[in-house]
Parts: sequence; structure tokens; C-alpha cells
Amino acid sequence: MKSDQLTFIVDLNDVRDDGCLVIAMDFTQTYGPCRTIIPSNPPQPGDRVDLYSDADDVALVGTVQAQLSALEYTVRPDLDTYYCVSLSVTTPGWRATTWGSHSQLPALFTTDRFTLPSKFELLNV
Amino acid sequence: MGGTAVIPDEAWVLRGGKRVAAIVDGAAQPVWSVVRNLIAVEGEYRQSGLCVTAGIADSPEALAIHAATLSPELMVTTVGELRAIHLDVVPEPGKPSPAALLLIPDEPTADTWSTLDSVLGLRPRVKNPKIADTKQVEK
Repeated sequence: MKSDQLTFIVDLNDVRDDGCLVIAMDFTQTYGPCRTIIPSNPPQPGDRVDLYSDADDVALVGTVQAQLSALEYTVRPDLDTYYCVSLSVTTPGWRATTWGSHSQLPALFTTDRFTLPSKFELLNV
Repeated sequence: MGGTAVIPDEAWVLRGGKRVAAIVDGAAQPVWSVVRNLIAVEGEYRQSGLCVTAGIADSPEALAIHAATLSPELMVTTVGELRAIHLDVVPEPGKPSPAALLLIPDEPTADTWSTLDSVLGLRPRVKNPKIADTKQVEK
């Protein structure tokens, strides 16, 4: 199962010794940072979730390992799903070359602003 | 191992990613990945800082094999260059070297982020060998 409605902002420098990252409900692309959300389909262990690092311009998919609290989970990033997001500040969109499970080339990610896209949606073009 | 030893000026410093800040509404602000890291470090160590890799090595590439990050690329600077802009790098408590913290002022300004982003962008980024082995990332 894959949670398509949430894209978690992660810091890839925060990877733990076990290779996992902590994701939190208050850092999602769709709903904005520091704003707690309770989605109708919160991630469950085993779910695939979208991860995004705006410091790296990369997005990838991870698998939820465990729930730490009501709003925090550990997730193991799947390096085979790395895909790069190239940002153009002059156009309202992102061009991404994708690999792995997201290998529908090319793909367009739409966004409203530089650091905090209000919409992170994969469109076939 | 980690401790209180002072990291020398000539030590390389690596930070995963391509940037730490972006211009929003005309002013430099930390990107949200960085905000997350600040919150995590504050919660863990009760001080304001960012996770970095810092140590003496023949080259940034040589140090990069020790970087505990999944970022495909690593920004490069030195401890001395950071100290020149009044930012220090210290060993990360309880973690083995070269894990380190780049200390950030409690109330960083737009200038703080702009200057730090500039310093981290002065040198060519190096590939993260952990990622390069598995995936070639397109710029």
C-alpha cells in the first residue's frame, strides 16, 4: 500500500544508525510545515510513503517501519527509488527525471513557491 | 571518538545537500529540511546546530566515506572558513568522530543563513559514495 496523499519533508542528514529516518505529520509538502495534520489514511508499518528533501532537490520513496508516536514514524528510504528534482525558479513547476518505481519519464511536479510547494503531484506528460 | 576536543581549522566540513537556505520573500530562510534538523538537534542536545561531518582528511572525498547521510551530494567547506563567519563546529556529543555539529546562533538572521549558504557553496560539491554506488543522480 502506498500513501499518495502525503509527501514528507525529510533531512537526509538525519539518517539514523539503523538507516532509517523519522518522519512527522507536521512536515508535509501538501499541508505545510509546523501544522499538525491527521490524514484520513495515516501511514501504517509497511506502507510506502513519498519523501522529499528540499535541501537536496531529491525525492524518493520509503517504507514505514514503526510508529513512534501519534504523529511520528520511522521510515526506511529505498535508495532504488531516488529521483532527482530540478527546480526552475522562472517557471511554476519542477522537472524530474525518475527512476525505479517512479520511472514514468518525464514527469512534472507542480509547485507554488520555492521552498514549500503547496502541491506535489505527479502528472503524466 | 566524540568528545570535547577542538576540531582544527583545517578540518574539512561536509553537509549533505545542495543548500541550507533559499530566498523567500526577498530574504534568506533555512529550507525546511534544515529546519527539521535544527529542531532535531535542539531536542537531542539542547543547543542550536546542524549535523555535519568534520575531520582531518586528505580531501573532502576521503572524508565523504564517513558521512552519515543519504544526500546524493555533499557541500564542502572547512572549520576555519566557518569560524571566519563566526560559526563553530564541535564534535557531536556521544557520537564517534567525524560526526559533528555546526553551531547556529539561537536567533539566526537572514544574513546568517545567506552567509552560511554562500560559504557552503564556495567549493564544488562532492558525491556521496554511499549513493554514488547505487544511483547516479542527474543534476
